[in-house]
Amino acid sequence: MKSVTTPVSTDIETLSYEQARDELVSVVTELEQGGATLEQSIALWERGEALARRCEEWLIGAKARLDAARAAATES
Amino acid sequence: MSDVPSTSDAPWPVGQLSTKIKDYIDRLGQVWVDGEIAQWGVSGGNIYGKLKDVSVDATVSFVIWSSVRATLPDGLGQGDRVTALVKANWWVKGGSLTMQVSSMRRVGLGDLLERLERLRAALAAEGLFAVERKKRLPFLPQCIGLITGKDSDAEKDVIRNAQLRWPSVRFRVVHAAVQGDRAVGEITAAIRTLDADSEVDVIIVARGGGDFQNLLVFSDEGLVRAAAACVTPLVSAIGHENDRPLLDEVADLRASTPTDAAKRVVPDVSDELARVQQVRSRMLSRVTSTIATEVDRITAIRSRPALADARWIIDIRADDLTRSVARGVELTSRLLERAHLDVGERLTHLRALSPQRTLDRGYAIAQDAQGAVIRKGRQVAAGDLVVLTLAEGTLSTRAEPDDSRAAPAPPTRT
Repeated sequence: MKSVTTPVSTDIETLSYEQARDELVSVVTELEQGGATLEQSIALWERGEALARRCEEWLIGAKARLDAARAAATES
Repeated sequence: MSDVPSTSDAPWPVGQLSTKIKDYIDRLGQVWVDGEIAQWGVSGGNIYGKLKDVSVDATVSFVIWSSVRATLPDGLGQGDRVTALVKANWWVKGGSLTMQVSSMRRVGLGDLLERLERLRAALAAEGLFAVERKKRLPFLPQCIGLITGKDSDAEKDVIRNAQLRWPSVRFRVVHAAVQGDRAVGEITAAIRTLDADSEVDVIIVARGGGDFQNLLVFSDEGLVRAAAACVTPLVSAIGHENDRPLLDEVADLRASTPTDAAKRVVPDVSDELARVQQVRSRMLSRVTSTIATEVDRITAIRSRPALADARWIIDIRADDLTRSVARGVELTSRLLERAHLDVGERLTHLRALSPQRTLDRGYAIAQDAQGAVIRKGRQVAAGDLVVLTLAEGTLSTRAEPDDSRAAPAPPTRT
């Protein structure tokens, strides 16, 4: 098992959507497998939460841009 | 006749010059020539006319004597393409040169076709028709060079259809004869002019059809080579399906008619806009669905129990703890119980071993003042203190002197 003890840090801001999503999946998988210590589990969960938020931000931003483009297209 | 060079002091007589010319010309002998009859006149039974080259500007006079005239095919006349056996004849007296025709025949369609096919094969072998040579037409031409007959339907067709599709399209029109003896030269020159014009980014050569003979112009080797050398993409719109003029082969695009040329050179503005719109909406829906898929994915990940509520991380450990405590309590109480039982058992055992039962049956334990158990009479003297332990309580007494000391003291009943 890959040990993800990466702290919840600002590096998430620099991740692309796919990177964030893929890491989120692996974090959840690791959580589901159990076996981590309490401290690790909490750290994992916090990182998972941060990654999920990042993904959502990405998607919401993309949606907004899409809506804007659509609005601009119908205006013209 | 002398061969003395002429000088200003000793010029040749005209007769000598003329005779010399005749000598030169006679050496040419008889030749077969191919050309077009440009002039045809009958005078005194003889025919006087002019024969011109089919592509370059060259003309010679000819005469057909009445004796030969009878052997000619019927109906020969101006405009006919002919092959003739001629002998150049210098008329010394008049100072004129005439071709004396000894045989002349019309060049049949078959001959022309055969020559055309030979040329086609030769140019094809040179690679002039190769697909790799074809240049792409510009998507939207800035300026279209158009070579066509003056006031022709072809011109109107091209311009009208092009403007219908793209109103702001620009043309540079060069009028040229599209048939007859000037056609090859004018069209070739027009191709070069438009090719040299940097604004023109596609050239259309248009002619609204015509019979095979008229279209021969567009198979002229010089013209075809000029078209092949043209750097600007060239569209041929000669409008003749069956006998493909060689220009069609060498052109970058062959249009069936002038109208077709306009349609293929100029994109339809509404068509293009619709296509862009379509692509755009496809793109948009594709991106939208990609985002929707990703949203679903993240939602699914988010709702997985491991991430949805982190309390489980604590809860499973709290449960563990509770279970451990309960187990601890259970184990301890069981241990206590067992110890308790053990003690009871041992007490029973202990009790079974004690003299109490014996005492209960009426026996007593006699002890001297020091606490030693009195087992023999001689152990005590008269008057010694004897302590009796009874089933309940003790009794102190004094020993009486007794003769039968050796005998064991009978158990005393209480």
